[in-house]
Amino acid sequence: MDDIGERYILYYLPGTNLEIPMGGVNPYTVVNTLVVMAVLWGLMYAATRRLSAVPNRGQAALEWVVGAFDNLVASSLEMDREKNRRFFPLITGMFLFLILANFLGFLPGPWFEEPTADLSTTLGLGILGVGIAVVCGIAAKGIWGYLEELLGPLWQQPGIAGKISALFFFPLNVVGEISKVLSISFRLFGNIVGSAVLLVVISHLVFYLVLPIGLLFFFVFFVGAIQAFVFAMLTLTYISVAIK
Amino acid sequence: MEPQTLEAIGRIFGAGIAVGLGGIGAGIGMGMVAASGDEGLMRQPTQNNAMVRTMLIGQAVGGGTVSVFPLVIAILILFMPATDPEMVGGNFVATMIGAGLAIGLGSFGSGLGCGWPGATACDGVARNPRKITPITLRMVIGQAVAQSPTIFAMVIALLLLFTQQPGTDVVHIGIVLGAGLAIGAGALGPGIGSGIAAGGGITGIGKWPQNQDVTFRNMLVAQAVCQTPAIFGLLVAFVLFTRHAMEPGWTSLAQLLAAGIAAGFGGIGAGIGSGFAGETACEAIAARVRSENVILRTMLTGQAVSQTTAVYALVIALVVLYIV
Amino acid sequence: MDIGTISAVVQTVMSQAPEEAAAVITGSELLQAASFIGAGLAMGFGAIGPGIGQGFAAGKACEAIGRSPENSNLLTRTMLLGQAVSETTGIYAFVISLLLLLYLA
Repeated sequence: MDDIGERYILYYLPGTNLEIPMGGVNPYTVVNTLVVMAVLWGLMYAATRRLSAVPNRGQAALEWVVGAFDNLVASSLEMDREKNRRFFPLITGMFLFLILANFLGFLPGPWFEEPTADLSTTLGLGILGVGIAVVCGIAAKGIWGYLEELLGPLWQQPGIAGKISALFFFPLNVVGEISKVLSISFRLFGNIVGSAVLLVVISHLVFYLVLPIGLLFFFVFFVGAIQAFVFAMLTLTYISVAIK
Repeated sequence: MEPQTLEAIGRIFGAGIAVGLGGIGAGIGMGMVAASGDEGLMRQPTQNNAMVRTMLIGQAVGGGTVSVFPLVIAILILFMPATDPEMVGGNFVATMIGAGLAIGLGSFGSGLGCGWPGATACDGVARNPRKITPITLRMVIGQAVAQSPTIFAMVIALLLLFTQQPGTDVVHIGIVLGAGLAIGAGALGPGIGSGIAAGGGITGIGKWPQNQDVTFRNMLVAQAVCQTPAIFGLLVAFVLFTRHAMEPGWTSLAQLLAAGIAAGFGGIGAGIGSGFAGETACEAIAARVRSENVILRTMLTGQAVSQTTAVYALVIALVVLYIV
Repeated sequence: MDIGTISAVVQTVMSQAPEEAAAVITGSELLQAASFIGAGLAMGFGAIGPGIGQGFAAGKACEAIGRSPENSNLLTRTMLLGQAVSETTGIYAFVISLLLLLYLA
């Protein structure tokens, strides 16, 4: 069972007494991220190569996903179609990348690790999503409007009490913005690493009989898909709250 | 006392804490689902099959899955060979108890929380038996999301078991017990809270099935925001792992334990409170989809304010570790 | 498990400590350790009540806004006021912990 420590814990945890090779860059993550991107590109290419009015199976599946996300983004942002379409590629792309990345754990072999089981990937995507929300908020309300939002809902009330309340709300809101990044990225990372390690441990305990297959489907396909959706949904919610 | 006896004591205590605490929540949660299922059966005696199916799925995915986690950890605690010859005596005992606390307290919350969506799903199916498929599907997803805090707790428990922290003095004891308390107690509240939020969403879907997509989306957001305190606990547990260079002595032990207690127990109230906010917000959104945005904003503001105390607790934990 | 066994366990655990620390635990060190633990307990358990209470307030506000969305500003303000009041005990716990950590320890 020592390989659990080798495989999953070596790269991800600063401060454990394990030595981290290559300055903390996990080569598996880099290569597997490229693999996921290549697979995603290949799938999109194959599905859109021969577009027709009567869609074939791949085109129909892709159209269903795109339509569902278009409706989702539209109902969440409640703007006109053209403005929604600015955010639609980000959310859909994030979801498709994450779901394929989580499904990578299903492939056998020690070289296929989920890129999302590396905190670098999830933290990067989290900073990207929350950063875009902040930038969109500033673009929608102006820099002063954004700062007023941080000063709390009582700032605009007349009287001194509202101004004093900003002392309380401003640090709270700044910490809130930071904790958005932390929570969105640690959630995905913790779920994927936890599922992967749990699978290895249970497989060892039951001598690789029957049970791990069911658990593999549950954790990889079910939990992986849900967490990818939750990540995309939270990014969408942050953006929709920021721009209104 | 001989080292073997001490080792056995550690294993027994750790496994007992893990399964004992972890079983309570799952037991209560499964009982809630069963009670609600029976009530539904009383109202709709002809829908025997639908009610029993919903109840069993709710119990299996809720309590059943959650109680598997402490079971696995308890088996590991009992039978895993001690890999590090340096790690004997009190350090071994502390590691085992720390792992037991992490997964025991951590799965307590999720087990209890998973009862809410199960119970409200049974209510919803009793009200509208034809909607069994959408209700059950969303209940299962809500329960799976409510289990995230337990998975965080399991990451820390496995780390404690598989990577030996360096050092053989009391600092080691402080690190492992503090990390166990931080993530264990920290996952308790968010587990319950995200379950309660899922319960509200499922109630809304049961009563107003025509708005199920909007309700479901907001339910996931509410649940996810509830879990922030558990993530603070995870963060503090990771930070504790980096503190093995503290000077050995009882003051350091007290510092590490205090950080674990503050970050862990400080998250309980915030998690449960955000859950209540999410519950009523999901029901309100299901009833009036047109005011979705204003309700969502109020919910997020309310949850953020009720998480300030968890932020204070995180600040105290970091002050104890780094400034004092 | 009887008292004798427990004390034996405790003694064995204590004997793991480096000798100078185990041998000389002075009064001021004990005070320091106690105030650390006290700060942790104060903040940890003090944070439970306000969190739950503020959650109730937020939940009721959401319900009320669902009923009458046109009053959302008034309701949000009332919610924040109620939450600020129930935050008080949390702030007390925070202040006490900081006092314990920065002055007494």
